[in-house]
Amino acid sequence: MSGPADLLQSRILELLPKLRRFARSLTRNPHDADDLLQAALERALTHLEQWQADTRLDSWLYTIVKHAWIDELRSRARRERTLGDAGQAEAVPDHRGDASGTLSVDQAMACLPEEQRLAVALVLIEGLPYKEAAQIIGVPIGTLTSRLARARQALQQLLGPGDGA
Amino acid sequence: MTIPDEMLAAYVDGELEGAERARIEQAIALDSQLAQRVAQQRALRDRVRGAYDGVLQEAVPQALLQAAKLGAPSGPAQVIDLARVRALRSRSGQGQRQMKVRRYSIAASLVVGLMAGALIQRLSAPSALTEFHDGSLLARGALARALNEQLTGGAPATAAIRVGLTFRSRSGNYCRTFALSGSRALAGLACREQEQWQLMNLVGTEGAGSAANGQNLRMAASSLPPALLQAVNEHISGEPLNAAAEAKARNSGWH
Repeated sequence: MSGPADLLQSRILELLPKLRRFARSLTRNPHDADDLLQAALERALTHLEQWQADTRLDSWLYTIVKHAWIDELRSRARRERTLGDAGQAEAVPDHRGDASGTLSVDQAMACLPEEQRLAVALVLIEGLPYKEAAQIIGVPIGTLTSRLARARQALQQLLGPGDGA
Repeated sequence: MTIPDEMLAAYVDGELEGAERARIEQAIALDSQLAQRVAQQRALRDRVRGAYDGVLQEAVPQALLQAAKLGAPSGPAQVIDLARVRALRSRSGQGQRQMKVRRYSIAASLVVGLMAGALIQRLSAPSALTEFHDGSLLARGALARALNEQLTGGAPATAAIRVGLTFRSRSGNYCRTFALSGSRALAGLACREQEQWQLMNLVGTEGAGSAANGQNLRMAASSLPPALLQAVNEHISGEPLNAAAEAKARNSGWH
């Protein structure tokens, strides 16, 4: 295997912990997260030619994880429709109720709409610049910032003033 | 001065620079209420991020390390999906896919570069069986001859190149699967494009099960490597050609 491929491989390996964290924040379940990442890595490695060397490798991989997650959500929705059951329905707390300020971050994240959760995962958790995050999600920066603002408001309300802050 | 939440958030997220940043910092210094809003934003950010930081300290599971390795022997068969790149390029007129296509076409000439390098090296030595031409991988030499001449099942079991299924693709062109035996254990799918055999897929068959090994590789559909079988399913229109139809197609130059 040639030098560039080795280098690329070691860069991907280095990114695995962050990719796992990203997958975890999307799926909110360790097993689902690792399964998701595994599927995404397989996709990435069979389409390695699609990565452009002048773009961020992490952003490209985040994008693939995001696509894989959206596919997974769609197939879950299909399954639910075909099976007519609640599928993997989790006990999602109702944030419109009186749960304000009593939730863990994970529970609060679970209350966010998917598009807001994705924005939070990329910007607040992964620490990406708005520009990169907007590209990964595939929306203009203005859309990203308004999603972030709504997500922050919701999280603030769900989490309450927080510990000692 | 009123500063909207989004602006404060951008400040906390490190998105502001220069004059904008200075303006906010000045405002914070003069306004304790504003300073409190910033502190609250920071606390929220730290709290959310902190909840997931633990993942970074966990050992990455072996399965993921394995999945991240290029061409890992125990991983799935290596597939070079040339058809995908080609299909996307040919659709480049469609606006909806425009952005994607641009990405693909820039990368098209690199298709064989990274992952596939080793496979192609095997293909091109000792005598060139393929040629990379204008973003497409074309059959050459003995491979092109076999695809042109060989009838399914017509080659001895020990032949270096054996042609398997022949079928018509959805666009009406003839396609054929083939297998290279011996040290260059590869199986592939080639389709007729502008009087040439263009390779749509290549699958490394080593480690993909003994059935795909050397002379044991019988190109019945059931013994095609799964990745190749999938490629066939994506391209095929109707049923594979029978012996008579195949001979007729060959004799008319695969038109």
